[in-house]
Amino acid sequence: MPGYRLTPHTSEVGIAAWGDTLAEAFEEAARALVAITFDPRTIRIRETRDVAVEADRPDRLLVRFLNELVYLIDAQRFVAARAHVEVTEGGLRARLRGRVADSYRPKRRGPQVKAVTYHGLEIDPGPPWRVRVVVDV
Amino acid sequence: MVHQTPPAEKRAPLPVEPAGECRWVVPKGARPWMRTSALVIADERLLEHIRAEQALDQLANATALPGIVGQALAMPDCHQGYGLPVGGVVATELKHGVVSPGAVGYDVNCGVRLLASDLAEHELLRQQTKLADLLGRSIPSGVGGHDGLDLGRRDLEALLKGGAEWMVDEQGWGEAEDLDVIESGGRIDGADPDAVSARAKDRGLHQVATLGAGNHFLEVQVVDEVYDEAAAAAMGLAKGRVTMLVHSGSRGLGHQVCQDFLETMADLMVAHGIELPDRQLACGPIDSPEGRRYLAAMGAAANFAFANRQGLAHRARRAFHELFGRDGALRLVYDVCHNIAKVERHRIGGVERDVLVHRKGATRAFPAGHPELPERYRAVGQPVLIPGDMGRYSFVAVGTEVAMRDTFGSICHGAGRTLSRHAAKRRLEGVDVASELKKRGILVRTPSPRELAEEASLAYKDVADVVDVCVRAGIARKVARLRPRIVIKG
Repeated sequence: MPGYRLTPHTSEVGIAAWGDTLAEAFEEAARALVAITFDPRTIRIRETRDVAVEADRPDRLLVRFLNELVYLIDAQRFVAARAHVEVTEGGLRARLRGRVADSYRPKRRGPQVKAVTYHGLEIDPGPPWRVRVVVDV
Repeated sequence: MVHQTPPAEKRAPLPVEPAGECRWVVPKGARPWMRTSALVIADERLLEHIRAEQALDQLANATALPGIVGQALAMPDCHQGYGLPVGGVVATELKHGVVSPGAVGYDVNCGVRLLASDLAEHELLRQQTKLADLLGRSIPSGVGGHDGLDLGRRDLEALLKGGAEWMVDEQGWGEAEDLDVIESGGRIDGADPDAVSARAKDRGLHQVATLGAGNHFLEVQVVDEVYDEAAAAAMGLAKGRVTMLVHSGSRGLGHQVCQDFLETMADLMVAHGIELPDRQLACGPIDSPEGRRYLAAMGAAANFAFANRQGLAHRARRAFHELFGRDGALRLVYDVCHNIAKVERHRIGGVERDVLVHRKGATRAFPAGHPELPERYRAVGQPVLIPGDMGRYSFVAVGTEVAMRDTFGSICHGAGRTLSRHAAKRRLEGVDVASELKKRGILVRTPSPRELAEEASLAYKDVADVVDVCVRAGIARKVARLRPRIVIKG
């Protein structure tokens, strides 16, 4: 079963996510990232965004992918409810489905994510694949 | 992996030796990669806080930065961060040393500005609710708060070059004399908008003059206590008078600049054969195209933050003017950076030299007589602004010659958390933090009241303890204490 867990520290939040494939673990990590700030039940799917990320290593790929979501929230106020990830040669492609936030929805429930860090970054090959990453809030 | 080392929690605890009043040293040999020792400014209790997390290991790791000069330093409010701990200071030599974006932090030029008025507390109290409502409406905050400034790309680029000066000259937001009392005059020389990525600019475009979320705030306060009459007088602070404190930084633009250059530096380290025990410390030679480019981008992000605080102060000044007319005039006392790297002249081993001082969650605190100080503060020293939590108080201090000698002219930057946001929320389950504060005469306005628990007093150390340790260590003198009356949170 794919899933995720958030572990708050003093001024950061740890994400642990898992899935049968690397792509699935990344999808769960994306859901976890958004759930730090927003109540996932209040994100209606209205729009999509396609992103492509390149990296020479899977751990870097994860950081870059999640930072893509942070960027979309900050620059476009786009909040993703779901990510569909396809791992490609040297990177990944993802279709993000969600909505542009207004003052009311999605409902905020936690701190704003500043950045996804390289601190304590881990990827355990699977199945099940497990990833760990720490975000700065 | 850049370096194969076991995680800090699995390593033996670092040895810490007492080294004088509120001083502790981690000796150079404690880890094989240490190039110098580390100095911690703390009393026994704060040292326990620092040792409880990975902060000390992070400090020891930072001593591995090539070209480090003097000691790596931790201020009494030090806590675990990424790369360098928050509350850390490291200086590197310009010719063979490195610059590390992780030793500046994600929120480039996060900082604090203080404004003072001649309003008496009772005049404020008559309009307290009105002012709180008005500020709540006029200060954009929260996640993705709109700025209402509607800048174009070209404006943004000019702002990245001009900082607070651009806000005053081009937007007419503030007074020319404000610029005299902002660190670096509110504009970092050598800032280059071209060094800032398009993505960073996208994130910053609509965030000028917005507070942001988290621990950022705008407070209306009252001078509660004056410890140093002469210094307070020079700063225009008098007991019972109203002040305003703004804490914000470079928002998404600065975060993206840091992120971009962590990646750049990670590649550069491979190219230069630099190995470090922590990837978040990623660094590159100051004297390299990438190093210079980071400093140019960091300068632009710092200018964004100066402009941001200038804009926030302007919005608040307008609100004061609306309610109090000319009596509500707010004079800028000072504006400090607490996440930045700067070239400064320091005396190291008896020799004066220019070094790059990285301060992350630490504040520059130049003493009286320092040539970089504005005329107004030449005789008393640079004002240092140290915010506490929203339920207690904040402090104004000045630096000393001892700070110049021992800490690269740096002191603490705040209280530092003791509880995670989550733990604070759990502890305050069912407590209405805003109405608790209201009972004590503090009005809070925020778009996200549910997040208030995360910022409650019990989540933070008592900032008075942190400041007192700086005083006992001889690196600071207290000037005044400020007590909140209105709090605007993101």
